[in-house]
Amino acid sequence: MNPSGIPTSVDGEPILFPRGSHDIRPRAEVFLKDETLQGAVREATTLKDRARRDALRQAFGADVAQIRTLAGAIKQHTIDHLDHYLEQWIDQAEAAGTKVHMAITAQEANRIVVEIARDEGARLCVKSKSMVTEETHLVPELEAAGIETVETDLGEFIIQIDHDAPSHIVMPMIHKDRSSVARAFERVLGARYTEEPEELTLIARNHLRQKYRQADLGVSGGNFLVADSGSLVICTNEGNGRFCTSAPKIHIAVVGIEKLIPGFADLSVLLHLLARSGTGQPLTCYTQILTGPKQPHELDGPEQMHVVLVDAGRTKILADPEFRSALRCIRCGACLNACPVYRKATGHAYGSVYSGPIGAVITPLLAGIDKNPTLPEASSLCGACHEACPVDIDLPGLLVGLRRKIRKRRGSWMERIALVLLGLAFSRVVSYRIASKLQRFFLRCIAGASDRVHSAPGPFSGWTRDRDLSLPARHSFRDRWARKGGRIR
Amino acid sequence: MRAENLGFGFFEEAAGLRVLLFIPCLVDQFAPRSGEATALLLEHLGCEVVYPVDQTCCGQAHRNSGDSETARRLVLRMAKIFAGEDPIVTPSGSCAAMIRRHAEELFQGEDQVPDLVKSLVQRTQELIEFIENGLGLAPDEIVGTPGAAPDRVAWHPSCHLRELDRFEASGRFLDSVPGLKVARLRQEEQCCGFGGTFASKFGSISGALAEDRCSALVETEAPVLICNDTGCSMNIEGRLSRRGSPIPVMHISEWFCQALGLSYDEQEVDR
Repeated sequence: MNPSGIPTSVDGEPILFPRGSHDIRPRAEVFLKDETLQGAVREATTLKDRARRDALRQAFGADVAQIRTLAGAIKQHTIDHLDHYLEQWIDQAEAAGTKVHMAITAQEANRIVVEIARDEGARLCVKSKSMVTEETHLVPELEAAGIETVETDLGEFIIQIDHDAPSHIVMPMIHKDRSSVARAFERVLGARYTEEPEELTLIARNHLRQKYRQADLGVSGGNFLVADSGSLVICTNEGNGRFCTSAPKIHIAVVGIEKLIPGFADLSVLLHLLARSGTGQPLTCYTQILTGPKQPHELDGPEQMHVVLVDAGRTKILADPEFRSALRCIRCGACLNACPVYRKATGHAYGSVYSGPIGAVITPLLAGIDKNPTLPEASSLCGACHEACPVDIDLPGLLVGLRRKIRKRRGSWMERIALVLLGLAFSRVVSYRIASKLQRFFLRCIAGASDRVHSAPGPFSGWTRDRDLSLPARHSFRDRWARKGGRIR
Repeated sequence: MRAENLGFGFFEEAAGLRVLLFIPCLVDQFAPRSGEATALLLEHLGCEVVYPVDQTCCGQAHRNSGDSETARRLVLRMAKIFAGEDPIVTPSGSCAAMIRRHAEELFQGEDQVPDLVKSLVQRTQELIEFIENGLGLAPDEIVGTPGAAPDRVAWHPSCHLRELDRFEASGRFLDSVPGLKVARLRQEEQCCGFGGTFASKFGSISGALAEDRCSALVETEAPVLICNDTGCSMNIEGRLSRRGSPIPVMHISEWFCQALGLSYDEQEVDR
């Protein structure tokens, strides 16, 4: 942590939103050597990835592909007609008594929340898990305004008291182990040191119950906005979302505009997929559908319900048809769990609230490609993310699209020259053969007496760091084929 | 009839189906034997195998690097070289997927996808896919026993088989070879870390993934790893060599040739 209170990573930069241009590699380099971290992330991601497959197979059998296509089409349709559904949702929500606010930027979203809190004289805020508020950095803003803010999702709570940052969309503390939780509870809450999960959960629960009772403001995110009823849907597992949205007299939901869906039939399709994809559960333990504040005939609920609709770069993505499908994302985290690069680099290497394949796509789109030039490159394009995505986002295709943009704007000259030369080599058999000979000669030289290259120079050194490289065959397939008199055309 | 057609150029009567052999650049340069085993296996199965000599590359490296102009040019070049009606067969899942799933999208900005390219896309198949779907052959119709080939193997499904919807199908094909015991790797679905230039640019991440694959392979105690993509083989072989676990990596076609007693290695590969 640095003096300003923002948690920092191994490179001294803020974990989320490093200043300047961010390269995923230096952090990944450090995280790869941390065996505890590697073990924790591998365990959790492979477990959830398997749980996802099993849950989907159990529910849909051979029709998994069809429901993914349907879910993708629903989200795509909604974002393609976002203006229409946004208006419809606002009308319905206002009719139900919800106060709707629009925030173009992250700062504006924070300002709106802080202003409401101040106007109502709020002193203590209980908050449930929300990625968009991580994106806007809401909590530090509330605290700066003198409003004590407590994260109530267990993972986020631990991260908050340990001055850390989430490293996974769904499992924010995937990078932490029990002992670090125990130490934080001992230090901050004065609890007895224990590594028993049940005891740790109880300690947090007792602490948080007090906060719910005293809080005068609840802040949440939102998983879906249902246009035809003006409802907000929140999916949680711990019940903390219910406390946050019903106990305090004011509830403010901060929600990205891409969360819209047309109606409840669509909600049904997406709910069938969200928890199954994220954690392997048929549904999250709690699914709240909130339509307006407490009504006169109702006994409980908040007196005021506010929804802050956040743009913060989303309309920029919307305006680009090539990348628009990225807005389909329902933040289930399945692509992170399936991603080989996420498993190794781990969440904080991405320098963004959104890590893994979806993070590698939307972080450059939201925060700028120039600030995140390595994210789209950090993929073997293995396609595991696309296969895992419940709304059928072609993530590898979008990564390649971003690489095209990078190439046009700021590709390194060395890489450009290499691509041009390679292109020329491949355009004629003669040049291809010359290039092959040169390649073999070059590799032969650096291999020395060995039949493998053990240490390659410059841009190829990455390959030989942990691997050897076989030499090309003295006689290529085409030469051997010709010698053997194979049929040609 | 089939048994007589061993070796190249001996298939005088073009009785069978004519196939065009698509040998990707990595196979051509680094693994010529897997190309030969592919040709030999196809001939054995009654195909007349023709190699269009002007072929170079399918454009995958450029497409993946974001240079779609060059990729488009190379796809068009390939479409001309492979023009006609004959099926196009390749020993690489990755290059087959490049053509099948990404060739047409490269022409999106244009008025329309050229017919030559459409035809290329329709006719291109990965070897095992072609044997199963194109020739309609089940493993037990090809081999009765592993013969001289190892009867215990581990199987590495390459990621790009996903794009061909063959990720599980190719493994199943191998599973049903009579007398062959196929060990599945722990975390089978996790990429081996190749990914073309990714392996060099992100060497430490890629290397860690290669290590995962190799340690999973060693766990199986299988004497050989079967693979159907030269990129993956080079990556896994390279890591096996570095960590001192000299388990041979073999192309799926090489296994079948060994099982059938087809000799494709009269001329050893000299490096």
